Amino acid sequence: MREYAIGNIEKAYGKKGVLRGVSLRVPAGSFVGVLGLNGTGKTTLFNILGNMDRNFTGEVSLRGKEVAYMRTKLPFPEWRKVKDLLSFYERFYTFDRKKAERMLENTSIRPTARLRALSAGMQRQLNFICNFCVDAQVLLLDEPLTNLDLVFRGFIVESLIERAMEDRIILVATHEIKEFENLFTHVTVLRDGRLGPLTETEALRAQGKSVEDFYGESLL
Amino acid sequence: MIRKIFLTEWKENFFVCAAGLALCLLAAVGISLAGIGATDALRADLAEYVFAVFNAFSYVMPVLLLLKSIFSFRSYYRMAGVTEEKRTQGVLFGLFVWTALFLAAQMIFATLFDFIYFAGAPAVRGQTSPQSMLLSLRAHGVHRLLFAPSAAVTVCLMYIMYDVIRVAVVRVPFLPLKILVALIFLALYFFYHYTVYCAAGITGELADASWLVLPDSVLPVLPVVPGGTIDAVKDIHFLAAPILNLVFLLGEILFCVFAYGFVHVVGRCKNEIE
Repeated sequence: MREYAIGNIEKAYGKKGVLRGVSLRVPAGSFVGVLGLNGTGKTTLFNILGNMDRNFTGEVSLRGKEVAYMRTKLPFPEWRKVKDLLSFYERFYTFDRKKAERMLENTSIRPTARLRALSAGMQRQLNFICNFCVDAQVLLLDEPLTNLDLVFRGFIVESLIERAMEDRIILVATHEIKEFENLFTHVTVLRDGRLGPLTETEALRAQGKSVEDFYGESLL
Repeated sequence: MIRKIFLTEWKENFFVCAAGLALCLLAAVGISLAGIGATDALRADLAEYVFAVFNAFSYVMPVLLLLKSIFSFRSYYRMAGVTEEKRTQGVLFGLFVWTALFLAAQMIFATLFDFIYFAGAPAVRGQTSPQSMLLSLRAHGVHRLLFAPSAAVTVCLMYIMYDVIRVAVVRVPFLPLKILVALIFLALYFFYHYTVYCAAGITGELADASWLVLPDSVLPVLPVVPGGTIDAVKDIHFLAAPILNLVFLLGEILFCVFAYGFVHVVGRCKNEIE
């Protein structure tokens, strides 16, 4: 597994610069929390890392099928069926379809259902399951807990604990810090278009600080 | 990759084509039923209406498939690391296959209608305008099936034109230059057909290249097909592109080389995955 490196990423919407030289080097096996206030550019950054947005300057070491990206919204037409999505992932990624089907059995999502027939929460569940079952080196999760019920939130956290044992990298952009508190190995804060230093959560705990304390201090 | 893209999109294309064919069949059955017991002249008129529906759909459906290819939302390919080049190749392959399949199926249905509707009524067929039977293999011979890939080639060339203009608009730095490049390719596309058309005719006259297919034909009138029938489709169907005329083929290849040469030079997009 290579180190995941992001170098000097810049992105602007018109004259408004959103990302102004974002750089990060993530060691293998890290579970990184990308924190930041609304509108600071977390989704913009994830869209670049997930290859949804190619209009930027800078460098990203791993892209395409090496990165599974759970966006806030499914990027597929709503008339498609759940099984079509599974087939898509199976065709274009290294994808464990059986595992995905097993995970879907624990939800109320039927493989023959169309996406438009699913609630926002069910679409999020499907989105998570599809991307979780991709054998990619990097897993990007943008607000993974939004719109989800308590049971599936727990399911996601449990699944990520399993994934965190592997030698892969997980990046999560979230405001739900408490639920990931024990999973994060590193955290960083996006502010004013730049990422703060990658801070080890072990070091924070040694100082008697929680991730939330660290985040609060970073915003000051 | 092309196969994967084709498999991902087969359903939507299949349903578009199936819906088109179903409408043609509905028109054929409905109008035929309306003609029961009518006079020969009226039945001939009704047959012309049915053929007119088939002919109209031979325009509508390829254009619909083209528009669907242009406007389909496909950011998920990008997310999965499919390059723009591969995506375009996949789209072109799908466009060619589905256009050709639709038109071939439509010609078979038009031929069936020709046989069934005029069964035992040669006088009615005699009063029906031969021009309306554009897609009937009974009227034009089985060679006419070549119209299907021939129209599919035209639709693919239109997509290439769109693709190059899109690249020009995205990649060329200054607005006047963007407009200029886009206009050049637009003009190239619309005039190359006719330029090559003339060139084919002139070449035939000057160099005694009588072995060339006439520019207004899609049929294989080459020495290897002795006695092949010259059948002018181009004159009456805008989408037909002679695919076995060497001069025309050369023109099409040159257009593609020029278009993709331009794309290669300016690049499709920023930060493409290598």
